[in-house]
Amino acid sequence: MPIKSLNLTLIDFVINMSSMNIQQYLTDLVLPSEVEWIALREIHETVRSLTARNGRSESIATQMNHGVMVEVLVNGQFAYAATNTLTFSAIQAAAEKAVLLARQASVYKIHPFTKSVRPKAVGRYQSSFHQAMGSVSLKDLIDTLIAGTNALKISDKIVNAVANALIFERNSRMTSRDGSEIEQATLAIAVGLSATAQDGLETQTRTNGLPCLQAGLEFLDRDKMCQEAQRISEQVLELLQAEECPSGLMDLVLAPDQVLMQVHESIGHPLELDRILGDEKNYAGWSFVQPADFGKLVYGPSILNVTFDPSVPSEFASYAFDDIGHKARREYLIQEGVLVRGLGSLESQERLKVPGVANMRSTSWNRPPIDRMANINIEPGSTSFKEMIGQVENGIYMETNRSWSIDDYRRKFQFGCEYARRIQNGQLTTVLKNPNYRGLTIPFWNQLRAVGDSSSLKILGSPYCGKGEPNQAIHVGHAVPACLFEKIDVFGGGA
Amino acid sequence: MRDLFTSFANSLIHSLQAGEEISLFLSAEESFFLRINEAKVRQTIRVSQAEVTLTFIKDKRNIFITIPFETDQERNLLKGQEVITQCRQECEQVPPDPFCITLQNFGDSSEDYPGVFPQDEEWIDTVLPHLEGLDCAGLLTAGSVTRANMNSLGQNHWYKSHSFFIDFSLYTPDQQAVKFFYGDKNWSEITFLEKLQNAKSQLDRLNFPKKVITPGKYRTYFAPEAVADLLVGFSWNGIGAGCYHQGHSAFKLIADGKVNFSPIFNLTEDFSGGFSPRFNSLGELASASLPIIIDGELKNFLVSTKTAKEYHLTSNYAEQNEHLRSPSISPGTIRETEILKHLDTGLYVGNVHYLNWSDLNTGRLTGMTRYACFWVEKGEIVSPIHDLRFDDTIYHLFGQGLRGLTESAHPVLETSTYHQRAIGGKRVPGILVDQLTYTL
Repeated sequence: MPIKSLNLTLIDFVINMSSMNIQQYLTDLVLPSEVEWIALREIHETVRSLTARNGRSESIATQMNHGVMVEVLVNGQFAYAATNTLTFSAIQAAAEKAVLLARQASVYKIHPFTKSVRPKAVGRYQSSFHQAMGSVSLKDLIDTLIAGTNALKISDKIVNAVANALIFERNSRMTSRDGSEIEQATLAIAVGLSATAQDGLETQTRTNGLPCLQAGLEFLDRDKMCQEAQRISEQVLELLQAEECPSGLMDLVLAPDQVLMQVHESIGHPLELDRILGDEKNYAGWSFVQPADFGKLVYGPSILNVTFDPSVPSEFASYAFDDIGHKARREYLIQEGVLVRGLGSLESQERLKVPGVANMRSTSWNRPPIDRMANINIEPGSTSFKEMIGQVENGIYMETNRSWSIDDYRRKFQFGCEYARRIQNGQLTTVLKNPNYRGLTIPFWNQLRAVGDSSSLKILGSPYCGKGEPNQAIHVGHAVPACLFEKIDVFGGGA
Repeated sequence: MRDLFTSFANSLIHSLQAGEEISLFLSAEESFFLRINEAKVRQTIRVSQAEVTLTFIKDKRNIFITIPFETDQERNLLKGQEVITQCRQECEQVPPDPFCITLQNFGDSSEDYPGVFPQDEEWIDTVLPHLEGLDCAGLLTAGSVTRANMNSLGQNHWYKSHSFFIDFSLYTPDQQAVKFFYGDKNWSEITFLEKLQNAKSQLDRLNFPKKVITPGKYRTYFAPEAVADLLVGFSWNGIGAGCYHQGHSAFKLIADGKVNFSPIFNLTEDFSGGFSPRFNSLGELASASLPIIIDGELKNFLVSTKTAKEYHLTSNYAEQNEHLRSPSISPGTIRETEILKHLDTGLYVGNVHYLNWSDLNTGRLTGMTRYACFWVEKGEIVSPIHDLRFDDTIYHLFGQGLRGLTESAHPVLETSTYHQRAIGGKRVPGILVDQLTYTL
């Protein structure tokens, strides 16, 4: 009897049975004349989480999420009401509630918005992939993950070996009464590998950093997974025997899977205009960046070029339009070291009067869109990785973030990595454990001495960027090369 | 919602075939969110949502599927039956799990906590006028939250709570901040205004130039809100048995008997406060009280049924992630009115921010000070401080460095709203710590 594939039956079924026509619903809604603008945003997302551990299947979970957000503009105030009951009466009730909220809140509105911040837009986006969901059986997917954990288990000292895949299918549709009609569909995947080794009181964990892309099931390749598992398991055993990372001011080379976190926390977040406006100051925090800094602040040396680019094929947070219908395009945030543009939507741009991008995004149908990172990338430089290491007389090379912390203004940070090597006289030498470093954002980026060329660039990302009240965790992408920094405060583990 | 869920669950249970078991966990909410900045409305949102997680068990295989749960039962039942079919198909494709969850019948329970507070749009006129002239930002959240579980062995648990919280911060003209929090089941304008007045008074203390503190070791008082955040470390790479056995726990040193916390430190998982239901997502009923650390010694890990099977332990019916759901730190002897006297010279830390483990092997935790934090000399507040980074071990914080706890423990409600409103809360005192390491 042939094994049935992990098919789309259930998803197709749910979509079809709730195949309401939100455009028709929007047309049929009965609304008071005071409504200046209204849109429905329908999101259907299915997240499959498959995990194998220590040679067996650990967890097979599917989370389906489907609902509609009604957004209205009344008397210059936007308001939102969301429901996952997908009947016309439920959406009519949500629309009436949104109108009531907008009317009441408009007395205390922070800014008198108009329809200008909801541009009319029509378009589609479909992420690219080779192997769709359903093209590989669940059995084969689980077998691949189990093979990954078996490949990790090269020693009895490895006490825990995990392989997991997170597969995200998302379909969104936004339709407004003034003619916007946007459909966007993405298939994205994150594949994780982790080995934990123990010897007495010493425990070390090495992972693959959870690479994630907009891609299909081809990203879960058994041969590549087993090769990667081999590297990870060898390195975690090296770490058990490794020296502690030394302390002191040293040159520091960061691998792309740590540059990712450095960019995310100390460039991405502080450039968000809603943080600068103070919308986030009660939760995620503020920013040291002031409105007057745009066009002036020297964030780093001239070799530092940072872009907002939702158009990179396969990067984790690519899209064609943000959730208010603003067409997305590549923009420089930092050009030749100078801060030129913020991460702010049309709403934030109007409030703050500084240039921004198309980044008003919501995590799902039940949350309003806010200013988010999408793909925040460091443009590659001209230094090969070998040349970069060759420039260092005495320093540390660190890979793969394992600890991150930064203050609410995004100034004082501390990061820890999984794996490090000493750099001596231009050569990578001894393996080091528990590497950490700390610093202040602007001085740190101004100590940037080399940016890796395109050969060291990696397209990475994270499914878990948290922000917003109510809270929202969203996908972000970071395409970054290795980078060299001069005289950084480096230290190791221990009490 | 209760009748809807009950009939839905019964329908699916009745459709099971021989050898199949199912557990259904409902998570639902009717929520109003009011987001403010500069004491004005930034965003206002109403969310009506529900979902059901089905745990399907057959031939030592578990499949978990979560589906949206609507108020339209016909649609729910169609989805539900399709999900059962999908579970059967997926079970055929996966190998058996030797540690597969098995269901039990923990009987019935029902908790319903009504609340009386303004409804949705009424909140706007109730709260905003009182903020006039203030620089204030934050989130007001209100509405009902439901958790329920039924399974094919006949178990039936229900928990519903109506509550609100106002989680704001107030700012001085030079943007120094104090936290304002009011959460309860019943609204009282008098209590709200008292708390607001108290927060305004605290703002006055911030109207001094900030002091720059150089890195070093300082005697430190952590207020209850800061202690509640430090306690998050006990869940995240913390005292879960699975976490320990899989090599991810920062509590290995205490678990292996190499070190203890201070004998004055006691931590209990205590459900008596009603912050959280005793049943977990599988409907397993935890003890009303579980000692975790008593007189500084680790007495119990949090153990889920799955972890118990794998490592031959006894389950104490923790949630699958083995996180604390309703922790309580026993109070000590420091009178609240004498905190500054006991601190003498050092740092008063009102809140902390962005904690993370900087070295799991030694239990070293780093984070930032946030909001109202002060430099204190000889029992008197001297000035607010610029934010500081601390980086020290939990064995110092709650062990050799712990000098005392305040005589009362304060409730600190869970405010997380990722995907859905969280439930739960902590009961914690303030703590006094000597020689805490600050690095940046």
